[in-house]
Order: sequence, then C-alpha cells, then structure tokens
Amino acid sequence: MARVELHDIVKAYGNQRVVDGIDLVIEEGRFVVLLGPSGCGKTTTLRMIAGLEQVTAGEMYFDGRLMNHEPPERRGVGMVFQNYALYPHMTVADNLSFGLESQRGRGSRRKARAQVRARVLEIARLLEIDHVLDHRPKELSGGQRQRAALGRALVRDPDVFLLDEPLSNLDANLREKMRMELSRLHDELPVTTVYVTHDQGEALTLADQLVVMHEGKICQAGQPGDVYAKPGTAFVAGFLGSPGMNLWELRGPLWGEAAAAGGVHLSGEAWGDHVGGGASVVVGIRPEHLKLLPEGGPWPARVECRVDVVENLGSHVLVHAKLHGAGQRSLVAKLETSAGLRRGDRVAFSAHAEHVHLFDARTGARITERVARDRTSVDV
Amino acid sequence: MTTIEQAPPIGRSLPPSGAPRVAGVARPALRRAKDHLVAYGLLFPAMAVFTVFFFIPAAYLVYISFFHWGVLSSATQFVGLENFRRLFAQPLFFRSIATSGYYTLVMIPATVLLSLGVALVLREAVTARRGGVWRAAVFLPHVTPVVATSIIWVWIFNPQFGLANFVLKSVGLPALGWLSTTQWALPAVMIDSLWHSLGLYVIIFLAGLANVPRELVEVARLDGAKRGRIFRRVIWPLLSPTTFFVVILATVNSWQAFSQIYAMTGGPHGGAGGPAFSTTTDALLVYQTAFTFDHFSLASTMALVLFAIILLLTLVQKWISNKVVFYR
Ligand SMILES: Nc1ncnc2c1ncn2[C@@H]1O[C@H](COP(=O)(O)OP(=O)(O)OP(=O)(O)O)[C@@H](O)[C@H]1O
Ligand SMILES: [Mg+2]
Repeated sequence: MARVELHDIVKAYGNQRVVDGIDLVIEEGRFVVLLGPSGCGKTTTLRMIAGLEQVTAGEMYFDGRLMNHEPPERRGVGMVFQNYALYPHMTVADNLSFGLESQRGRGSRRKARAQVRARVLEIARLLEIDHVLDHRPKELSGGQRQRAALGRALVRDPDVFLLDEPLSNLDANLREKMRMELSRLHDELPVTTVYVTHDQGEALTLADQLVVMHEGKICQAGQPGDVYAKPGTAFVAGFLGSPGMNLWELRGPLWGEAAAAGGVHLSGEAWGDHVGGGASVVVGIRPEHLKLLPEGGPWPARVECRVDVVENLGSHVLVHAKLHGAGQRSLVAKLETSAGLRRGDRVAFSAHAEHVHLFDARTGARITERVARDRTSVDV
Repeated sequence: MTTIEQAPPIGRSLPPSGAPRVAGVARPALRRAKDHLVAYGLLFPAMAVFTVFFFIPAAYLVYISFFHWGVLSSATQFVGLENFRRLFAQPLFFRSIATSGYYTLVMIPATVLLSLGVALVLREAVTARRGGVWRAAVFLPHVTPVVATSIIWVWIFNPQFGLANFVLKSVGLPALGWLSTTQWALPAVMIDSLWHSLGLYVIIFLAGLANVPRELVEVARLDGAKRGRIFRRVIWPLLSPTTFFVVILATVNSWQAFSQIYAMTGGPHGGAGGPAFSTTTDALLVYQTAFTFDHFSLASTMALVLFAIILLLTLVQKWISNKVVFYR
C-alpha cells in the first residue's frame, strides 16, 4: 500500500494542457474516485500515475519517493483497463500468473511455481473465477472477464490499484452487482485505489474521497456526501445528481431584501446580504429540493414556471418546466407524485433556504452561506 | 364480451433466431435467380482472367506432362509416365530440388528475422518525424525491377572491384569469391533477394504489429515484464498469423525464385545456374529444360512436381500452424 501525492501535475500534448495542475493527496488504503465529463483528463491522470505517460510538469510521490521518472514496471501499480486488456491467447490462469512470473526472482523453480499457483487460486477464489481458470478470455462472460482483469491487477499485491471505467462495458444489472463487489473487495483488500468513472452513481457509492474534474483541473475534492451537499462550484453542482442541480443566473445589479428575476424570487432569508454590491449570481436548487406550493404564503425561494413535460419514472416523477420571463430558462423538479400536473399548468415551486446554493456568476465559485446563516439566526 | 387470449408460452413468443420469417410468403424464385445472376456477373471478369491465364495453362501443363510435345512439332504423342521416369532418372533434377530447398530454408528464417526486426525498429520511428521517409526507403527496393537491380548486385559482388569485398576487407575479413564460387554464389543471390523483398515483408509486419493492442503491451509492462518477455509472451503470439502469412509467402516466392538467379548467374549470355549448377534451382531448371533444351513436356512434368512440392510444403506449414498460430 502506498500514499500517493500529486503536486501540480501537468500533462500537455503540444501546447494543449489536458491535465492542468492537479494537486491531490491520496492516503494509504483510500478509495478515490476521479469523476468528470468525457475528455476532462481522467484517463490521462490515471496513466500518469501508472507511469504509462510522462508528466510534463509537477511531481508525483509514492510514499514520499519521487516517481516522475520511474518506469511503470517499477511502480507497483495494478491497472484495470476499460476494455480489460486480457491477454487473449492465454488462459485466465496464465493471465493471472504472467505478472507473478515476470517478477519472480531466483530460487527454487518448483517452489516458486507452486507459490504462483497457490496465489492465483487464492485470488481466483476471492473473485469467484476459480472454475474458469483454464478458459481463454473470449470464452468468458462480460462479468467474468471483468473479474479476471481485476484478478490480474490484484494478484501481485499492488501498492496502488488503478481502475479506468472498469464497469462501463457491463449491462446495468451486472454493473450494480460488480459495484457492490468492488466495494466488498476494497474492504477485504484495502489497497490504495484510484477509480476513474463518469458514472456518478458509482462515484458516490464507492468513493472515500470524490474528486470532480473539469477541463484538466480539479473542481472539488472531498467526501461524496459533502461534495453533493455543498458543491464548490456551479459546474460541480450541475454535474452531480441525476438530474443535476437547477442553475439560474440572476443578472446584477440586485439589491435589497428580496430579489426577483425571470420567475425566480428569493427572500432575504435565502439571499442573505452578501451580494449587496450588485454582482450577478447563479442560484442553484436541486430538483429533489423543489416542492410544489400553493401561491402566496411564506417562501424563502420561489420559482414560477409553466409545466412542459411530466415524466413518470415509477419511483418518482420528473417535472420539466419553463420559467416565466424572458429567456429560455428551464427547471427540473423531482417529485414523489405527479400531483395531477399537466403540460401548460402554471405552478410555483419553493425550496428551503438551506437548499438554495449561490455561486459567483463570473468565476462559478460557491458563495459561502455564512452571511445568510447568520442572518437567518438573527431573524429567528 | 372480451376473450382473454392465452399468451404464447415463453420461448415461443420470439421468432426463431435468424431472419424473421414471413408466413406464407416464399421468397420469389425469380428474385433469387436474379441475385445469382448478379453475383456471377460480378465474378465473371475475375473468373475469365483466371481461367484464361491460370486454369487453362495449368490444365494444359498437366496434359502435356503425359505427352511428347514440342512447340514446333505438331506430332504429339502420348507417352504415359515416360516423362516422369526420365525426370527421376536425372541427378540434376534432385540436385535442383536440394538447391531450391537450401535456398528456401535459409530465406524463410532470414526473411522473418530481418523484416520483423526492421519493422520493430521502424515502428519506434513511426512516432518520430521521419517515420514515413524510412518506411518508403525500406519499401523502395521492392518496386524496382528485379532484373535491373540484380545487375547492380552483380557489380557489388564483383570479386575485385565490388562493394561487398571492399566492405569485408575493410573490416579485416577475407574477400570472397561470391558469384564465381559454388559455395558463395547462392548466398550472394539470397542477399540480393532479401534486399529486394524486404520492404514487402516489413510492411506486412508493420500492419501486424499495428494490430497488437497497445494496452496489452502496457499491461504487460505494469505486470513487470521486461522488453524481451513482452515480445516473447505477448507480441510474438499475437503476431503469429502475420508471421505465418509471411512464412507462406516467403516459401512460395523462394521456391519459385527465378529472375534474380537468372540475371545474377548468367543472364542472356548463357550459363545461368552456375557455377557448376550450384545455383540451378528447380525453377531455373524448368526454364532451361523448356527454353534452352526445347524439351517442353519434360519441363511441364518438372513444373508439376514443383507445384506438388510447394503445395505439400504449404499444407505441412498449415498443419503446423494450427498448433502454433493464435487467431483472435
Ligand atoms: N495522445 C494524445 N495526444 C493528444 N491529445 C490527447 C492524447 N491523449 C488524450 N488526449 C486529449 O486529452 C484530453 C483528455 O483525455 P482523457 O482520455 O484523459 O479523457 P477522459 O477524462 O478519460 O475522458 P473519457 O471519459 O471520455 O474517457 C482529451 O481532450 C484528449 O483528446
Ligand atoms: Mg477515459
């Protein structure tokens, strides 16, 4: 096991910086998930940790040892590729033992071979592929291939375990099952793990530490629950959650206790007085935090709109609506029942003050709630 | 009143796999005939060319192997196996088979090793800026006329003024008799042939290497394997269909090698195949029997045997390949 540190890591192809200054410390035995949209540099970051790509700038340490120029074979990493990359001409057993035999030192051959066999069997049992050890990869099911790839990476007891979208080739049911198995596996073999995905379900359930990336940079890193509850930027807010957070820009200058723009009304409680200067802000409310309310009444945040589409998804209902006022702004609300809503209905949604997120419209950074909280406590 | 329709039993509700069947509508026979017509129509030009230039001459060759036949003599006479008897009574025939065998046996491994080596080096160079130039340079000899470049090689192998001996002498090795000695004449031809055909095989190997997934090599590196082990255990097995193809091609080309031998060992001045028949391969002997000694039926018989040998070699290789070649 190793503690992995990335200090201001940059990867540039030509003058395009695809990874642009990443700082990340991964404690020993942690399960870190890199999450981000396609092309944000997740795979590139993982490949740099593996040593398959040279870093352009910055420093990388494993347990305090500088790794920048260490070749992949000497880093002690195990990696699972998206397409598994099993050796097609070898049986599962040979796939697993290849790495062990590659690094075998001198000593009694027969004893070494017996040890290799025992280790392969141990891992195969753990992953429940011991009955297909003498099959070739093409004779395996998708899930078995996936396990074989995991096994090959784990059999050598890697210090760092890297997975690049390992579940994306599986069907939905199997993906959920393997997700749980990965979780179990990490409990049994607590190896420092970096897991790349663009599936937020996987990210939120698997991660000890969630790292959201965008355009080669880290937007936010933290515990998944915290990142979800308090997104650090408007991008993270919109990216996390299904569907993501509703985001509306309110153009400045906005003054006073209450603010209203294009169908979005915020009372002083939700608003706080921290944007008294009149800068534009982005208001964000998660779909599940929007509640249908009758008109009038007390409202910390209120959004007026016209229903566009009502999607019934069984466990919940998604209401897509167009906001009043100029512009093509829209809203998604996640309700428990459709409450008889139909296309064209004029409705108002409301949300609690603590569910209203504010972001700087120019930088996208979160505007702290301190001021708003203080104010609320004073009011009450 | 509504009737409740019974659901079809599970497993019957789907049409059998394959094309969906439309009940009661047979595929019109007319349309099928039209399809066939189109197919044969498209095949016709290729088939015609093959028939005129390959099948008919091949069949004719078999036919005249059993006759006494000359280009100018109209009298053809059935002689049964007489041509075969005469052929097998000729020591030179067996010697030519041995010469061809020697030539082929050296050429196959030399071709594979050299072209694979060059391909591996070139693949590294592909990422470099001049990769394309190098590939073109290696391929260039293959598009030059064999006869023309063979004459250059005759110069290179000139015992007194040639480049080959100059190089040998400058590194302190003794000069060789090259084309004028029985021992070195065939190796000289081999060098010319290797040079000439290398580009083709390099391109084939480059294509094969490009088909080896990059991740497999990367994963092997992560597995801690060194270059040699990665090559032996990952690249070489995955490359085996390509290697097999190259072996077959090299076998056929070597056993049929003619132009370079003819041009280097005698050319139009006669005496090709020398010195002392040391470069008289099967193919050369067929040519000389037919065109120098005007014995066409004997030459046909010889070509037939040559064909049988190549076929046999290919079958043996195919049989071996089933055990060692990995097809994905
Ligand atoms: N060898 C390369 N040369 C040039 N650009 C590259 C190279 N490899 C990756 N890139 C670029 O780097 C960016 C990040 O790629 P990367 O594969 O890391 O994305 P990703 O986050 O893994 O995306 P995905 O979720 O689609 O796998 C992309 O814009 C890609 O085009
Ligand atoms: Mg990727």
